[in-house]
Amino acid sequence: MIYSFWIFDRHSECIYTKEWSEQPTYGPTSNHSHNASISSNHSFGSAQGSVGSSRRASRIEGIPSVNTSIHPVAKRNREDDAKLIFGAVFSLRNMATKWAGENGTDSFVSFKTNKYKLHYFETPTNLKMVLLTDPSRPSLRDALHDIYVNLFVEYVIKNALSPQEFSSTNPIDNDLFNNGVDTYIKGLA
Amino acid sequence: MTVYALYILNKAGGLIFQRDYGTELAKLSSNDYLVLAGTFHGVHAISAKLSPIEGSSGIQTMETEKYALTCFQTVTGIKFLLITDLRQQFVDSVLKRVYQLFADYVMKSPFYQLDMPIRCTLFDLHLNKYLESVS
Repeated sequence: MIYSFWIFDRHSECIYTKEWSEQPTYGPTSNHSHNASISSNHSFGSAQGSVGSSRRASRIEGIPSVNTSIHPVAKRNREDDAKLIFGAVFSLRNMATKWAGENGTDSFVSFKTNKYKLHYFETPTNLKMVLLTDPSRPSLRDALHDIYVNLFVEYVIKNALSPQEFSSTNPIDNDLFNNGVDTYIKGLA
Repeated sequence: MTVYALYILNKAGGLIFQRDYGTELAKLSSNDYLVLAGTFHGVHAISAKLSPIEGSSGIQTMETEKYALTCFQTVTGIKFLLITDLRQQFVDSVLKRVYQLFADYVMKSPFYQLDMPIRCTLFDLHLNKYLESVS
């Protein structure tokens, strides 16, 4: 079972996310079709961010949210989780380099809890790729490397029409890449 | 299995015990060790939050290219971090045994103050003996 996939650029912005869970953790942003992907990408940064935070605030006060524009299953906010994942991965990566010493090299590969496993791959250009799966998976670092080489470089970097920099409000919106990732991940499952 | 280091964190994320075994891991300043412990404590809490499935525990094992870190958290919130090579055989039983030694020689020591750095000669002695026999 593969839950979700995240890409962070060198400015620590979440530039791509995709989810495969049967019960989605987030709102209806899963890019099932082209239309869905466009609308989802727009709501990703601005609208959903504000809805999510107000929802979270009301949850703290114990008042049930009455906002119906957000999917009922969406208990969490995608942007917040992106920041948490980045924070966790960034800290663990720094720990790994600390232990390696000043001359040694080492890099963070994965961590595991009793419910899920997080796989991590970082390119020399500081692009960070994260994959969340069930805990029984062996390392999927090679899979992430494959996605980088065969999909990201081919369809995003080599695409002359694609912007050079992405951001959380302007994430990767590329059908070839999107479908490629979807097919590749479904092939792993 | 080779044990490279053992860290013990109190329930607030403070480092109360740290030992390196062998010279595999880089020597750090004592301040760096405190920072590492605090960082792990934070990430451990975050990792339970961002689970796609409800009710996840914190980090149980973390792997780098060269080491594996196994975390064992007791019901009282104390964390035992064992850094080993990637083979990780019997890590769980080693951690359980370390916890036993901790209970016997630290918690039962009348001079030990809760959540403070561990300075118990008997604990050191038995721990070294045990970890040498494991490696």
